[in-house]
Amino acid sequence: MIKWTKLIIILLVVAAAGFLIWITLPSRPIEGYKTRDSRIKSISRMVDLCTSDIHEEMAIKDSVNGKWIVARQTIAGHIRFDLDSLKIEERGDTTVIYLPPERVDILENDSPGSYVVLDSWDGVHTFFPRTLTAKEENIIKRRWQEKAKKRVYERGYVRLARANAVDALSPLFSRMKGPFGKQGPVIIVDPAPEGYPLP
Amino acid sequence: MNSSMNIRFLIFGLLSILLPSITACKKEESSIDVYSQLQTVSRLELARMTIGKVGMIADPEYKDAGSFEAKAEALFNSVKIGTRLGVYSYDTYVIAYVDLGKLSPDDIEIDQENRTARISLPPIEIKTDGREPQLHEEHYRVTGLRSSITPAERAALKSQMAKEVKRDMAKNNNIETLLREAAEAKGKAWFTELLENWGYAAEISFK
Repeated sequence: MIKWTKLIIILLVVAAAGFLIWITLPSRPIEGYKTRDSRIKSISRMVDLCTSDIHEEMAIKDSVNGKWIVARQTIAGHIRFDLDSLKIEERGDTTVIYLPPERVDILENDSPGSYVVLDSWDGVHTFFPRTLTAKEENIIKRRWQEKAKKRVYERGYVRLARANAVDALSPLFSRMKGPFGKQGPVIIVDPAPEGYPLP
Repeated sequence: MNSSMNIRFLIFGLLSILLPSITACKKEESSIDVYSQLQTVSRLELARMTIGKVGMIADPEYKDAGSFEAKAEALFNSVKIGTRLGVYSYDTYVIAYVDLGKLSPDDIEIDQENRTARISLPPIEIKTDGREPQLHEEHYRVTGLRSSITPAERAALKSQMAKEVKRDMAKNNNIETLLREAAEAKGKAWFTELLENWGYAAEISFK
């Protein structure tokens, strides 16, 4: 009798453990996610001169709160100049145009496989590991966005983009009329050939 | 006296032959000037659109399941304890630009006498600029004994959303029309002002 009771208890414990393991196991990736149609959020008008496009694939390995991630990300970077905010000065008969600060946009390439997670794990808790949250993942992405931006400066892309901008704008504004509506010499000045320092 | 008169006649004669050709040359030169000044700019971006997309990670429902495996998965999930739901969004940026490198001298007509300029700019082109790296969590509810939503799942969702943004853009003509209209309006205003500064009343159009 005792033998049978023991066996039933063992079976019950095994069944309960199996059930617990099954319900707590990570869900399998869902094949078709539910989405809503894309919608237009805003349209803005501007006059931007884009003199540099950057495409780069980078490997991300970083952690937040002891939670790690390894991912592959393809970035799409652009260096732009806002021609609507040109600073123009008139000195005697000469018109001086200052090249505005560059805007370095680091985005993710819009292709479907531009961000792939290769691995993620909890570096602190081996048992009951915590999962990297979306907020934490965004912190890591922002950090790497800043790193990519810094690299754009270090590699001299900004210097080149600014030089290209001066070359492109010099002929465009060479006919510009100066003070009193008279056409005089026009100079394009680059106040920061190496680029404006990052905040 | 006679020789000086002859020289005057000679100069007058030469000028009357040369002047019309000089004027014609000047006319042609000014349109080539304008062409060479504009085409150095190449890509000038005139409008930017932000497109939002929302996606959801949730257990598949039995009624949505197509395959036998998916139906079984939906049934198993329904007996699990708790809810597993995450709603995410991100933005994609689309740019409308004019490539002035595609401008040809024939696209520019300059009338020096009346100080007018007629420019037919290359067509507005549209391209995606990139997408927001971050995925915004709009809603998250994982309760009971359900597992958290993993970074790999979020990445897979974003990948699917990116495919759909491309499909939606191709399907929805409104996106391209609105962006093109905005870019053309900005381009016309900007080039008109620029040409006015050069001393021409401008008529700007896009091909």
